[in-house]
Amino acid sequence: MNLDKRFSRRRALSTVAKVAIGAGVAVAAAGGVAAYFATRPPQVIEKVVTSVVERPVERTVVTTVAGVPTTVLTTVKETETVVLSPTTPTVKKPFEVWWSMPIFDKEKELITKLSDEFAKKHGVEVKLTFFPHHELDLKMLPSLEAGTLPDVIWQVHQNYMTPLFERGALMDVSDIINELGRDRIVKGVLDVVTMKGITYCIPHYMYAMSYLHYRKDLFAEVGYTKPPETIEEFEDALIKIQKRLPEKTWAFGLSVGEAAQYDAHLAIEQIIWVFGGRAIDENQKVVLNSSETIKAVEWIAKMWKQGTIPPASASWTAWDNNDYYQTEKIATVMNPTGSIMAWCRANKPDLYKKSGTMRWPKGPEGKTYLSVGQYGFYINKATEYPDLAKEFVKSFYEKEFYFELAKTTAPYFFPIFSDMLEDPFYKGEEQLWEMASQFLDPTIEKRTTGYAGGYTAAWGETLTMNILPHMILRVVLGDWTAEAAVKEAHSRMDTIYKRYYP
Amino acid sequence: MSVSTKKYKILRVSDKILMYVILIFVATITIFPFYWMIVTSIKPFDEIYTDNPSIIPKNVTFENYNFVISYGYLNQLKNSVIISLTTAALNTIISLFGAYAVARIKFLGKNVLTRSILATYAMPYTLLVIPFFAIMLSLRLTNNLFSVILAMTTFTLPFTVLTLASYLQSIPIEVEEQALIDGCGRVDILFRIILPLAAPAIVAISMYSFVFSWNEYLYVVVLVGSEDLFTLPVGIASLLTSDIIPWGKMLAMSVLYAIPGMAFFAFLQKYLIAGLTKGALKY
Amino acid sequence: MSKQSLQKEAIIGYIFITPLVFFILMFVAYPLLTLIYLSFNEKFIGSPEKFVGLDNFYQLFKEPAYIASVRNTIIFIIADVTIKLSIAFGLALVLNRNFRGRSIARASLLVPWLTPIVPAVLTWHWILHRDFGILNKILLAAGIINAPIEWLGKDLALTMIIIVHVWKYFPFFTLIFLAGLQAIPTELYEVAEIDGADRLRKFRYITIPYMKNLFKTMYLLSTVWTMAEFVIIWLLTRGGPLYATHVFSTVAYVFGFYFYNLGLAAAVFTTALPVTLFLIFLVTKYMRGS
Repeated sequence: MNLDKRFSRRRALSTVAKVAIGAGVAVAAAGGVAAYFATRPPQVIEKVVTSVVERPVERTVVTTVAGVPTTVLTTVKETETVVLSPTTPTVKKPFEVWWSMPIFDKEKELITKLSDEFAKKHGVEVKLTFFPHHELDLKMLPSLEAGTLPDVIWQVHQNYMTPLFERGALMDVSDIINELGRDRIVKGVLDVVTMKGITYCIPHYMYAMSYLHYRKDLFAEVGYTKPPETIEEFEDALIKIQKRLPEKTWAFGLSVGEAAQYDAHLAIEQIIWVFGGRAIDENQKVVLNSSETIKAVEWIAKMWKQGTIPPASASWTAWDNNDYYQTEKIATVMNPTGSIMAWCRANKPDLYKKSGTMRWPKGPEGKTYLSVGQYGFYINKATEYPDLAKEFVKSFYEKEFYFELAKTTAPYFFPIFSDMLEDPFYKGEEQLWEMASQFLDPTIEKRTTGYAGGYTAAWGETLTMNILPHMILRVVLGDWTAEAAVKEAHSRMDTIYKRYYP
Repeated sequence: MSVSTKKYKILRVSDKILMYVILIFVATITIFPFYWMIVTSIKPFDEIYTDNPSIIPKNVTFENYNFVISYGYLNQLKNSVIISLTTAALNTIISLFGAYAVARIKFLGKNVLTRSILATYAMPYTLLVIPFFAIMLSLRLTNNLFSVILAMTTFTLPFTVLTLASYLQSIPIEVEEQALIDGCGRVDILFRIILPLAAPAIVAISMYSFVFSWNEYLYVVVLVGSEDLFTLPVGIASLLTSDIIPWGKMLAMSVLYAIPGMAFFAFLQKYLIAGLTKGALKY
Repeated sequence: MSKQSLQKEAIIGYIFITPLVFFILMFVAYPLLTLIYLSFNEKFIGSPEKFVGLDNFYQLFKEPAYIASVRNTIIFIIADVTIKLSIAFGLALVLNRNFRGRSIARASLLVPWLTPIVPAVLTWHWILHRDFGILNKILLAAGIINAPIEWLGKDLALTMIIIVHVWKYFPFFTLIFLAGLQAIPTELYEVAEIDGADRLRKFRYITIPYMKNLFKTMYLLSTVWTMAEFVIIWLLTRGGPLYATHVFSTVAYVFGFYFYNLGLAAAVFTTALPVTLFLIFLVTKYMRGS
């Protein structure tokens, strides 16, 4: 071994090492200093910002109709000067809005543009940040703990917001709803965001928690040119279609797995409703175990055993049901939001034309239901900018803007105003109207998931623990009887609910 | 060279074959998913969403890469590089000193220290994100890449220190003892003797802290407040919003994300290992 | 050494470890102690904590997800670490030799480790997919199986997770073992060669003793590291189906981030503490004796 060579190499390396370490320390120090200066608290806001805004106000006016004095309720537009500055003169943070990432580029553009326009028009600073959906969920938790929630959150996952509501962190927004026009809003969507009489969210995007999309051509082939109306007809159609389908294609794209979370949970709940059962009652008591629920589970198991449901559904993720439908592996699919139709509309027009959305077939009681969901605005109760927050949120419902936004996101989402849903844009396109009309049809009962106890944190836990999919898997994979599976699910839910509502 | 060395160097043919077979098998399993990622990222849409996937793409398109670059990739790349390189540098320096102390120097409380290092390493650090955020908040370091760097350094240190310490212990102590007798200080020993000898392990732990930071997702999301500070994992995950996995775009971004890591390793390999360790035949 | 130089030694030692201790105390010890404290409290995110003693633990032991996770965590860790380190060690032996294409082999070895974890795991999910996955396709085409296998179903999910985890992390351990092998002085081998030792004897009497410590340390460290594994399991199965793949980390995550129940999540960690401490004790014991 050549010792000299070894030592000179070592010397060279030690110099390199010393330089590197010196550089490293310098970088770290510089970084620390820069970081400190970059995050010093912002300046005190001194000027008071006001703005003139128009608001509709309902007034009773006495008029004469055919000579008789009558009191009439009319809506009058008033203007008011609103103070947009924070409630306390020295403020630590700017007006912050966290927005769950828009799905479409155009959508993001529109939102950003409006926010900028709003800021300019009123002479205020708006810090709008978009976060990917799950990231926003994760971000909120430490912020909640540390008390650094933003002023306004536009959130997608309501189950992350209900705990905030239950801790009293959200503002009651009933007055904003009134100003937007309570009557215009589709019946049922406000129930989703109202608990104990308090409305804690302004719905912005509306959708069904479990649409039932289907292939019109395949149903027509077995004699159903109009969608099946009862569960018996539906079953009949599925079995007939399954017989005609090639290998590796299935008639009923129902998610039953735990990895599919929302998809499976919501679909199973919908089917339970159709058969006349439900999980929770108005007093937050678990009422899952009933003959109706057992019938629903037995029906799903029957469809499974008939081979109409893909066996892989037991390990489907949230993306799989979309994938299967979009690659024409399944004839029907249940899915929350109109994502599947939106995708087909944009990427596979042929498939879009062959597709439709049917009302959920009526069960033994002759009724059908629609589970309504929403994405919307939540306002931090502790915000220092209450009026600014209000005006900001309202600007997103201005007719022209809202409609453009709705058109960009159709049929993924729908606007919440009935008058907008009846626009030729929706009426004129078969696939869109099939979805939109369900919201307007008074014969379809609108329900909130977790009926009738509402969208509570306890219900959220039921979702996260996959109790409903688990129940189905017990029967289709574990060979349990429906009675046993329902009993187990009931007792598991009971354990959860007793903790929240002893 | 003596006769024995010559004999030593000739490998039996059966040896060689066995070795190559193992290597090819391992290489296939190791590389196939990555190959699949690359191939899928350049496939046109129809070839991805089909139940008859082809191993070699029929058509090739680069639209996904165009999309990704305009999606903010470069900025996210910059942020990822900043936190990963700084973490690696910081971690290596601290580990070097710490590991050497643990391995060689006698001082009071050493055992307690070693044990508590391991204890801190033992937990799923995902749970610590909330108290960590609270600390950063009180230090006014939120919305800042530096807080992420601190977090990453913290969570990689236990493992790197202990790994390096264990490795150092297996280095024969005689050379150091000789140097001590000759009057070298500990710092000198560290740089002149230990550093070259432990180079492969140092490379390994640098890579570890680099990759750890490179892959980190949760802490970046929680500690960072604005889009322009997002790193690549967050960027990739943000493509997953919709109900359908945008395989093409996501994998294109992933390929572009894996490459800098590989480049970093290649760089480390070349400049620190080559020429310092003997690539001789061993069992 | 004289008393004075021993003292000087100690001081140098303390200086060396100061940055390390700073990090540990500030950013780990404090949150860690907070977590242990929390496990004895009823603590929801956003609400103040309330001391409840052992209540969280009572709830935990009744929770089926947790019970399943105990079994799964044990199986996962033992199987995973053993397989991973065996493969890593074997590969290190192979890669330690001089042969054509060695640098390429070493570089490509790192691919799984450097591939970003989210797409890698999703890709695996896709590969293992029952109907669309390429694995089933190849096996069916080759006639090895007759019907598609449910790789991520109840029975095989845990096994597949172990495989994916090993795939992702064995490169790092190969690097470490490779470094270890290269630290063994060649003179020893040459002397043994002169003495007439064959390959097996060289392996047994030179390689193994030198690597023993490293191997044991890596085994224990990897065990602890694997206990914290989360992303792979979460993305592949989310702990399902029917709790077949829930481990401590996933269960704690669900409790903390979905139920907002930090007290319960902390309790999961605290229950793992005794085992962890035992492992720690073992590691330090091995490290002391070289």
